[in-house]
Amino acid sequence: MKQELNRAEYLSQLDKYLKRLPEPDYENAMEYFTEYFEEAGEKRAIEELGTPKEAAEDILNNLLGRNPETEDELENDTVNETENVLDKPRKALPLIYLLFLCLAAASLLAASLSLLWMGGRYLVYGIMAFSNSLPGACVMAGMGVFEIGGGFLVFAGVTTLGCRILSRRAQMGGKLIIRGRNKK
Amino acid sequence: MYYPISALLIECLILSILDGKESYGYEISQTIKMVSQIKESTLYPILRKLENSGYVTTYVREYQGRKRKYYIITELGREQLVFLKTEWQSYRDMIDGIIEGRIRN
Repeated sequence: MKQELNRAEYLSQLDKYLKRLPEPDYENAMEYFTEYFEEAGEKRAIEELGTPKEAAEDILNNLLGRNPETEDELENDTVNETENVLDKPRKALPLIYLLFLCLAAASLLAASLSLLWMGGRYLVYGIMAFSNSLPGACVMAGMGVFEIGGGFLVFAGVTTLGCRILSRRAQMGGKLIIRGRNKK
Repeated sequence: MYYPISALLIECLILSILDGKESYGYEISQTIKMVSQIKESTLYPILRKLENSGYVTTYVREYQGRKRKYYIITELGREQLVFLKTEWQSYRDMIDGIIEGRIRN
């Protein structure tokens, strides 16, 4: 159990969970709860709020107008993707990380292209060598086919992974925009 | 208190508190907690909603070397409070009437 949280730790965890709110809402909420900690005292505040995750869940649900405790819907918004928003913590990809990913993808793509190129050459050499030595030609052609296959595999892997990461990030941005709009 | 309070009634209570005098988060929450076991994580979104609807505005004042956010009711908030109060009165009268046996269908 991580019950020994102090004020700073508690607030920084809460901060992490509330980051998924649109910027002004997030700042406003953090100011409010920081102030509440100062007024009520650390012990009382934590006793009342529960774990940072529980508190954040409450806050998010209530802000979005989906509170099981109060029966009236504050606002009938159509956000339906947030059932368990906290189960997948939002990753803020720093720029350096993103840059590194791009570099890795680029070098893998280059590697797959050179594999394809080499494979093609071996295949051609192999076919041309048929008249000289049948086993040699088979080895060459086989290596060529093997490299072409490997090249395709790497290429397909990198592109599908890249597309998936990109589309997930795009979706996330979209959701936040929708949520921000519904807030008004 | 035994009976739960709806978020709308809490809006009415907050606006009533502010109608008398401006106040800050902790003071508002301590008053509300006299009648409800509401958590801060439920109360905050209600305050935020009142702010977003233009019923209250806020400003920050220094208090003992730290910041305290004060809430003030706006003209729009006063109009809303009039509506909420009449709604509450007719609700309360109806409940009282039923409890006291004066009203039945």
